[in-house]
Amino acid sequence: MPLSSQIGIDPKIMEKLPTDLIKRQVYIYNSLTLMLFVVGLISAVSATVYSLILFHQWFLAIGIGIFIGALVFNLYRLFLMTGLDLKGSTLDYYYTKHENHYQEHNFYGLPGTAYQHADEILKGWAAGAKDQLRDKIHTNPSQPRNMFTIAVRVFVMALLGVIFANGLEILMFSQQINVSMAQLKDLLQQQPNDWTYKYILTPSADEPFILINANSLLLTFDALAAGLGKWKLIIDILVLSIYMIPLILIYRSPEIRHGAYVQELALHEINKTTYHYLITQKYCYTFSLQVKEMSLYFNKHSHEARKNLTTN
Amino acid sequence: MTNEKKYFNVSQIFFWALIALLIILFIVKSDWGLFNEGKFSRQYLFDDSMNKIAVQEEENKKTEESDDSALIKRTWQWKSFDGKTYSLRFSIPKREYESSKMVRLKSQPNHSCWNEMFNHDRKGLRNMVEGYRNIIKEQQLDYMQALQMVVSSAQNFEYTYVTNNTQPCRKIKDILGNKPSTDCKSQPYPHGCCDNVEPFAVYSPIEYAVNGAGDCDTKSLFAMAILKCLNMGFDAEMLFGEVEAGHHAMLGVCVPNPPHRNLYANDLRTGKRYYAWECTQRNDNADLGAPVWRMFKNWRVHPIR
Repeated sequence: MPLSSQIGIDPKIMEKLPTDLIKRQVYIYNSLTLMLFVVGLISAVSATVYSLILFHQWFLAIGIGIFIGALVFNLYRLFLMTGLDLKGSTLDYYYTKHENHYQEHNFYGLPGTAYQHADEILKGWAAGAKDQLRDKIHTNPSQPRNMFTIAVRVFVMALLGVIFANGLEILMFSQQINVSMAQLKDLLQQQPNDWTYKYILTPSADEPFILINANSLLLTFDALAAGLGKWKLIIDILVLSIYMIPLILIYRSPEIRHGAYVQELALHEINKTTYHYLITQKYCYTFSLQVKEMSLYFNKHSHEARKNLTTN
Repeated sequence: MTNEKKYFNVSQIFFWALIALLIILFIVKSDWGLFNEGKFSRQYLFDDSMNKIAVQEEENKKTEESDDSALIKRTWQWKSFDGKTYSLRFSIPKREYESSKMVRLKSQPNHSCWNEMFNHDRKGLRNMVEGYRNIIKEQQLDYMQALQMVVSSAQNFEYTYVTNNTQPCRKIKDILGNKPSTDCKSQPYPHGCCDNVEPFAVYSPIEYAVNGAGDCDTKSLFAMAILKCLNMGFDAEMLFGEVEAGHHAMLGVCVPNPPHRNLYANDLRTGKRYYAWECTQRNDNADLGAPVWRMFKNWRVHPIR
């Protein structure tokens, strides 16, 4: 089972494409899935770090970490799947209004004899129409997209990226932060009633500190920012880039945006709808014939239609 | 490779390169010295001090002196330990100067006179303290730099002997046998001398600010008064004891991790340790806690309340 199936990619849809192209597309989506897993993992680790500082309990922290990691992974999966649209492709015309496809292939008002065929024949018609449609595909890479939607998604991911970057930095420099905290504690020890000393830097007897020797996320952030200086910005940008690259790929890579998989997926859906349209038409026609064959008597008083109830 | 393929491949390589860089950072972060552990505590204290300064500025604005003719104006310029030259313009009300003298003359002939003079002079030093605060804010000094800036300003004037009637200037000789000048003003070696400074041969902080003449306890008292008024989050007190030159007074500052830790005295009631700071010497070696004396005996903290 390819890795990409974890984000809902079905390679069987592309069976009519050349093998090289299928391999390439599977490779792309496998790589993308792996990237999303890495992003999810970073989020999980970072959320665990935050939870450890807040709750000082390993089980709770790991539970929250896994939950947040899965949440971010699925959010990213949602962004990926809803980002695969057909704007800039000729398929858009048929995909958003299937009637255009039926009309072009004369599936409207078929003669009655057309419906005497088996369902499999109708399936073949739909498949034939799909193949013809594939030949008509033309893409325009410069077609503009809905910038608001993209901006919202970029903003959400950037926000998550910055939040989880901090968690990762805290884990990375936990020892150094603890040295800073110890120095601050030494300073504040001279004022034993100091609020920070009493409530933030001194652990309670039943809940010893884990990872960072402080009760406060904000103080930890302060220590991190003061200690790292300009390096914090650089590491933030590094983690932010990791969060942004899959999103940029979804929107900008020609192999994804107008890639073979997206086109085949659209064709597959058009084909399915066409086939079901033909089947529906067939059964409508059959049922109408059957109804016409019936000798019906309508009694306006009883509101009943009765079959063969005429009397001599 | 087509351009289409290039886009994905390059992005992918970039992604994994960033992940690799992150992993390398995890492993070698300490070796690269990216994290400055000492900066946070200093920054914390600095911010804390700045908050206190902001609160006090508001309070001081309410009671500013407005009559120029009733003010004694001075400008000080000195070099601090960081090599920077600082300039301070300040004014002291004449009546505060006169009443400060009176308080000194009426004070006890022992160490408690330091308390009386400090408690009186707080108000008169307000404008000067304001000036120090402005320097700290404008130059963005951390608490250690602020400390050095204040103490170096007190050290800046030449040493001047200050005596009372028990030991007049004419009887004073230094270890080389030289007599000081009888002019009561700051001047180079063999220095000036101020006679009949009753009752304890020490000038009040306001008198030092106006005249710039003082010896060990006058300079230390002045520095301590300014530091106490600045209220930057650490304690400053007067220390007294014996050195090879005889009885002596120094400034005591309670700060963690000073540059030198050789000279200090413990306040036995509070358990706090005050590092001694020689205020008479004007040189860069006379830093906080530095060993400027070979002998350091019977030193005690005199708490100013």
